[in-house]
Amino acid sequence: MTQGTIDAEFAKICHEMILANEIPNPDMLDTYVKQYPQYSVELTDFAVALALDVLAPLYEEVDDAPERATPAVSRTMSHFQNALFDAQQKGDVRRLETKQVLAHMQNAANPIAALSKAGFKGFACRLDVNSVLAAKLRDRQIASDTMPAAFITMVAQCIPEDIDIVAAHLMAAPDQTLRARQFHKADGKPGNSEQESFEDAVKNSGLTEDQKRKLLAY
Amino acid sequence: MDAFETIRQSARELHGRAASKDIDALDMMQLVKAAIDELGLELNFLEPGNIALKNSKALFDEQSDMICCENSGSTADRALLVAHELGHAVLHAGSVQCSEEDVDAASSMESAPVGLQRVEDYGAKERRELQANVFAREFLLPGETSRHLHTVDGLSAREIASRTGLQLGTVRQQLFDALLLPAYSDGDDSETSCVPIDDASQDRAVVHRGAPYQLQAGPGTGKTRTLIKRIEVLVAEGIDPASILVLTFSNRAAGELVERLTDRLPDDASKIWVGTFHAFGLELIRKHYDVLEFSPNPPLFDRSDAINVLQDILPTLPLEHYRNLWDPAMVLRDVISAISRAKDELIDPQQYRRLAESMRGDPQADDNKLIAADKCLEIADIYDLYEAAVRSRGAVDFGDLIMRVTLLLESDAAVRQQCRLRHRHILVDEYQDVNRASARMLKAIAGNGERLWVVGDARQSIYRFRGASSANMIKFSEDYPDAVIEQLKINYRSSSQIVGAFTSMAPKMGASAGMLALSLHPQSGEGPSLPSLSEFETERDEEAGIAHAVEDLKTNGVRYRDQAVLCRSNRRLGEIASALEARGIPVLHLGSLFERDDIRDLLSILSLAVDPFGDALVRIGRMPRYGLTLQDAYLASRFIRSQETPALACLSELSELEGLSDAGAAGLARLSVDFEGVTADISAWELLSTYILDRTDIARDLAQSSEITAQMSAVAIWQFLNFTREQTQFGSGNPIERMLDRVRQMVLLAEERDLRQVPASALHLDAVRLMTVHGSKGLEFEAVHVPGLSAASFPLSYRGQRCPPPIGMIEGDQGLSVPAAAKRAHAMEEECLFFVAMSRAREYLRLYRTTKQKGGNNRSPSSFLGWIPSALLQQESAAQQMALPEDAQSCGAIEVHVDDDWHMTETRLISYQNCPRRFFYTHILKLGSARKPTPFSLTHDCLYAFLRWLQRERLTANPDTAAAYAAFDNIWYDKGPHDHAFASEYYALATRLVDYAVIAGAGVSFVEPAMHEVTFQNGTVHVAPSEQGRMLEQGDIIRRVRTGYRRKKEFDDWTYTLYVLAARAAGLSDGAARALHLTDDVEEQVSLSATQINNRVAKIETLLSDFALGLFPIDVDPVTCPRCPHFFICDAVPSGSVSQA
Repeated sequence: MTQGTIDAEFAKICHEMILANEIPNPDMLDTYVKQYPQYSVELTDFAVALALDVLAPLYEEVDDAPERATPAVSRTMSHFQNALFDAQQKGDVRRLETKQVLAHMQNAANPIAALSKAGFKGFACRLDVNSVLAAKLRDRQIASDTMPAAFITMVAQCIPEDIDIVAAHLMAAPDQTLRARQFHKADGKPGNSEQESFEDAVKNSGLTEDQKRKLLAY
Repeated sequence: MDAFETIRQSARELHGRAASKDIDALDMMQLVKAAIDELGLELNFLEPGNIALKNSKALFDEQSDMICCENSGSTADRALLVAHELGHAVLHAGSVQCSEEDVDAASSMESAPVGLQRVEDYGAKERRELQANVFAREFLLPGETSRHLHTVDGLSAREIASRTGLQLGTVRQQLFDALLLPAYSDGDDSETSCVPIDDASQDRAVVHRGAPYQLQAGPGTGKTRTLIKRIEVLVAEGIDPASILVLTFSNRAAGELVERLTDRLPDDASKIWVGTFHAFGLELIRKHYDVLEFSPNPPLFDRSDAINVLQDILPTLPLEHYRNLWDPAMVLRDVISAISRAKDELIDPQQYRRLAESMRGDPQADDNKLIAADKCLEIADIYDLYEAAVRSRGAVDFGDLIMRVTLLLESDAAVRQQCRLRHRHILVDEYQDVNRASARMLKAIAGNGERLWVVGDARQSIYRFRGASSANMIKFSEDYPDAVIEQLKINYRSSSQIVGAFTSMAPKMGASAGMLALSLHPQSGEGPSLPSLSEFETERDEEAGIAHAVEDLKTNGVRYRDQAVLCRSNRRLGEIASALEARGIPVLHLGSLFERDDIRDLLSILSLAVDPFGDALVRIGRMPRYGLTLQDAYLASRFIRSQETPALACLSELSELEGLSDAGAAGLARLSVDFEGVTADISAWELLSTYILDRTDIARDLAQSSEITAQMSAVAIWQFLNFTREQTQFGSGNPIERMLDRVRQMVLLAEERDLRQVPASALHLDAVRLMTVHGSKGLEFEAVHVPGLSAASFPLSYRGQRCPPPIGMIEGDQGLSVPAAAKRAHAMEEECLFFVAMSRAREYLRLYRTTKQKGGNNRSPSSFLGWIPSALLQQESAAQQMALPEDAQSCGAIEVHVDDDWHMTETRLISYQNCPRRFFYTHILKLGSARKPTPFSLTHDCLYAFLRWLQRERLTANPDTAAAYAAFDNIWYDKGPHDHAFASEYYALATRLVDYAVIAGAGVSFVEPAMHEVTFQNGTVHVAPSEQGRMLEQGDIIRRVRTGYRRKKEFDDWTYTLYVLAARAAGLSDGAARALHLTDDVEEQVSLSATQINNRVAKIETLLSDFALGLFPIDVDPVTCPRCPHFFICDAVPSGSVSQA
C-alpha cells in the first residue's frame, strides 16, 4: 500500500465524517478507530475539530494551512473543496472552517512518518543525511520554497514515494507531533510551528562538512 | 516491589552494561555515550533554539532512535539531559520532548502528600517525567555507588557533586534515596491472594457492553483484577487505549492500577489516562483555563492554604457565631470544611445563602432553628468572601477541581463534546467514594453512560467526611436508567470463617440498603482458626495482649510484615506502636511525623538557625554527636541570653565557657563547625541537606544499621526532607520561620495526617504494619489485629457538627433533620469501618477489647461484636500478655539544684501541674523562645501588666478610671495586638476587665503584697497574693485576681487552698482569703471545708513530692502542645543534673 493509497483512505474517512452531517459522537469515532487504528490520533483530533466547528466555531485548534500550494496540494484541496461544496449544497448547516479541515487532511499525509524504524534509517542513509535532518524533513521544519527542486526529487526517490505526495507533504504546515501526546497539558498547542530555510537546516543539523557540501550543491 | 524500584533496576542494569566498557564511571558524559552505544541510539547535541529541538531542552525520537539535546550548560548537565531521555527510551513507548521543568533529577520519587503534589503527580505525563528523572539519577549515580562514596570513601554530597560534575541537588536526592530508604532484596515481596481460575461473575463484568454498568464488589473479590481484565479486553477489541479513562479516588489506588496495567499492557498502558478525579479536574482546568478565566497553570490551595486565605481576610469576615478570640484558626478550619462540603454538593455561595434564607423564613422555626439559620447565613457570607479572595489570587482549591469543571462541562457543549470524544470509555474504581459533584462530572462526560463501567462497594464507604455517600451507588440507576447492576460472587482473600463473620454483619448495615444482598463464596476454604475476641482490663493490658498474639503468630510462621494492627484512632495507634517497640517487636509506623524524636532533632537544628535565644540547644545537646550534659546546655543557654546577638552569632564562643564538661566543650566546638556559614535566611532543605550529608554522619550511620527502628527513623527523615523541599507561600519571616510556623499550624489543625503514610519504598520491611482502619482500605494481611472494641471507642461516639450545612444542601438527606442526617451518616460510616477492618484479614482475625475505663468503671463491649454470630467468634477467656522489659519502666528523674533565691510559688506549681516538662524548660532551665504569641495571649499579657501597674499605684492612691485607661492604653500600644483583625474586640474585652478591676478596688486600702510561705511535708510554697490590703468590713485580706469567669466548682482548684493556708501563715483568719473574677465581676470570700482543705493539701503534697523527686513527665495536649514555646525541643533533656547556681 503506497502512501498515496493511505492518504486517499484517510481522506475518504474524513469525507464520510463530514457528510454524516452530525456532530461526531463517541460511537462513530470508535467505529472508525477500530477500522483504522493507524489513524487513531488523527481521527480523534479531526472529530474534535469537527465538533468544535459546530459547537464553538471561533475555537482555534490548529495553525493556518500554508498559502501557497504545489500542484499536488492543489489537487488535494480541490478534492475537498468539492466535497465541501457538495455538503453545503445539500443544506449542511454547519459552518466548516475549510482551512482547519484541510489542515487535518494535510497533516495526515506524511510519507516519512509512515516509515518503519529501519525504513527511516534507510531513507536517511540513502539521502546521505543524519537523523536530525531527516526528522526535520519528516516534521516539515524546512520551508519548502527554499528547497531545490532536485533535492525534493531526491527525497522522493529515497523514501521512495510519488513526487506529488512528497511535495504536498513538504508544503504542508509543520507536523504537530504534540498532538500524539495524549497527556500534554495544552491540547492542540504545537510544540513546533517554526520552519527554517534549507540552507540553515543543512548548516545546523550536525552534518559532516562533506554532507553539507553535497546538499548545498543541489 | 514498588514501581520505582523496577525503574531503578533498569537504570542500574544499563549503567552496569555501560560501565563495563572500560570508562571512568564517574565521568558522566563517558557513561551516557557508552549507554548510547550499548542501545544503538544516535546522539546529537544541538545549539539552543535549534528548530529540531522543538522548543525543548531534549527529546527522544522513537522512529529514528535518536536523542537530541541542547548543547548548553556543563558537561554533566548535558549528560543529565541525555540520561533523562535514555530513561524515556528504555521505559516508555513513543517519542517525547522534555522541557526544562520536565528534567529535574533532583525531584523526589514521592513528593510530600500535601497540596498540589497530592494531585499532580498522577497525571500520566507527570508520572513519566518523574520516572525518567528517577531513571536518570540512578543511571548516572547508582544508589550503591553513591552509598559507597559517602559511607566508605567518606565523601560529602558537595564532594561527590564536584567529582562527578552533577548538580548538588541531584546528588543530594540520590544520596537520600540510597541512604535513607531501605534497600530491596529478593523475597521482600508479599504473597497475595490466590489467582482465580474461573469466575463467571468477573467474566460477565469484563464482557459487558452496550449499557451503563455497576459492579458491586465485596471485599477480596478481585475488583481491581476485573477492572484490569476489562481494559485488556477493550484494547484487544480494537478500542483505542487513548480513549480509555480510568478514575479513582486515591493516588495509591491510581498508582497500583498504573503498575498493573503496565505489566499487562506494556505498549498501551501509557496511553490510558489513569488518575484521581481531582487530577483529572486539574488537567481539564489547565486545558480550558481560558474559558474558566484562569491563568494557564493556576496555583492549587490545600486546606492549610485555604485557612491562611481566611486568616488574611479576617478583618472582613462577618464572624459572630464562628468567632473564637482565643484561637481564630481553630474555627476557620471548620468553616473551610463547611465550604468544601458545599462544593462537594455543587453549591455555590448564592445557593448556600438561598438555602439559609429559606431556613430563616420558615414560620415554624423555633429559636434554635433560627440560630442555625443565622449560622448558615454567616457561612454563606464567608463563602462569598473566600471565593473572591481565592479568585483574586488566581488560584483554585481542591473543591474547585471538581466543582468548576463539572459546572463547565454541564454548561459548555463544546467542552463537553470534546471531553466525550477524547474519553469514550470510562471506568471508575471505588464508586462508593463518589460525592455528588464527581457523580455529576461523570454524567457530563459519560452522557447516557453506554460506555460507563463502575465498580464499588457501598459497605466500604468510609470517606463520608469528603462528601462520599453510598447514596450515589443507589442513585446510579436513576442517573443511568438503562443501567445493569451485578455483583462479584467469589471472595479470594479470606478464610471461610472470616468471610462468614463479616458477611453476617452485612444485612444489619445501613449501607446495605438498596444494595444487592452480600453473598460470597470463600474460595480459600476453611482457615486455621475462627476470629477470636480477647478481653483485657486496661489499655496497657490490651497492648501486652496484642504483643503476645503477634509473637505467637510469628512463631507459627506468620511474618511480622504479614500482620497488621488496625486502630480506629491515631492516638491509640501511637500507644500500641510504642508498646510493641518497647517489647522488641518491629513496627512499620511513622506516627505523627513532627512529634518523633528524630524529626524533632532536625526541627531543633532548624530552630537554632532562627531562634535568637537558641533554646534548641537543650535538644541538640542531647544528640550523641554533641554529648552535652544538662548543665552544659544550661550554661550555654544562659550565656546566649546574656548576649545581644542571636544564638547563631554566638555559637563559636560557646566552647570557651567556664564550667563546661570536656565533652560538652568539644561538642559545642563541633556544633559551631557544623553551623559554619549558616545564615538565618537559609532554606530548611538547604540547611538540612548540608547538615545531614556534608557536616554529620546521620545518614551514614542510619544507612549502615539493619535495625528496623533505625530504618524507620531513616524513612521518617526521608519523608520529612520531602516535606521541607516545598516552600509555603504564606506566613512571614525567613523561610525556616515560615516552615516552623507551618509545622505548628499543621499539628494544631491535624493537617499532618497524610505525612504519617509510610512511603511506598519502605513497605517491604519486615515489621508489623500499624495503620488506622481508613488507611487499610484496599489492603490485605495474613493476620489482622483490631483493638479497641468497646463502646464509645469503636464505634466512636458522634460528636456533632461544628458548622452544620443548611437544610436541603445534602442530596439524599431529604426527610431528615440536618443533625439526624449527620448522625445517621456517622453511624453508617462506623459500621463500614468495622466491616472494612474485619475483611482485611486472610487467615487470622484477632479482636480485642478492654473492660475497664481509666477511672476504674466498667466498659461495655462494642455493639458490633453482637453482630457476629457466637458460632463464628471464639472468646479467649485467658488471653496472655507479653510483659515489658525491665529497663522500659524507668521513670527518668532529673536531679535539679535551684538557686538559693528560687522558690516554688503558687504560679510555678500551677505550671508544674499543667505540664511538668514545660515547667522544667521554663522555670528550671529558664527557656522561652521569642516565637509569635496569639492575639489572645498578648491581650492577657497586657491585662496582667496593667494589674501590676494598678497594684503599684494603689500603694499610694487608688487611680480613677481615666488614669487606668491611660495606663492600659500605653501598655496596649506597646505590647497589644493592636494591628490584628480583631483588635477592637480584644481591646473591648480587655477594657471591660480594666473597668471592673478599678471598681473592685473601691473601699480597699492596699498594701504591698507580702510573700507568704506555706510549709508542707514535701516542701514550701511561696504565695504572692495578687492583692493584699484591708477592706472596710472584712478587715485584712489577701485576694486572688483572675481575668476569666468564675466556674461552678471554682474552689475545687487547690490554689484557693493555698490562699487560705497563706492567710493562716500571715496570722489572718481563713476568711481573709478572697477571690476576684473580672469577667463576670464576682468578688467573694474563699469558702472551703476542712475536708476540702485536707484533700487539696494531699494533692499539693503529691505535686511537691514529684517535683522533689525530679519527675518532669510530659502532658500531651493536641491544642496546647503546638502552641507551647518548647514544642520543637520537647521532651528531650540531656543526661545529668542541672544546677542554677
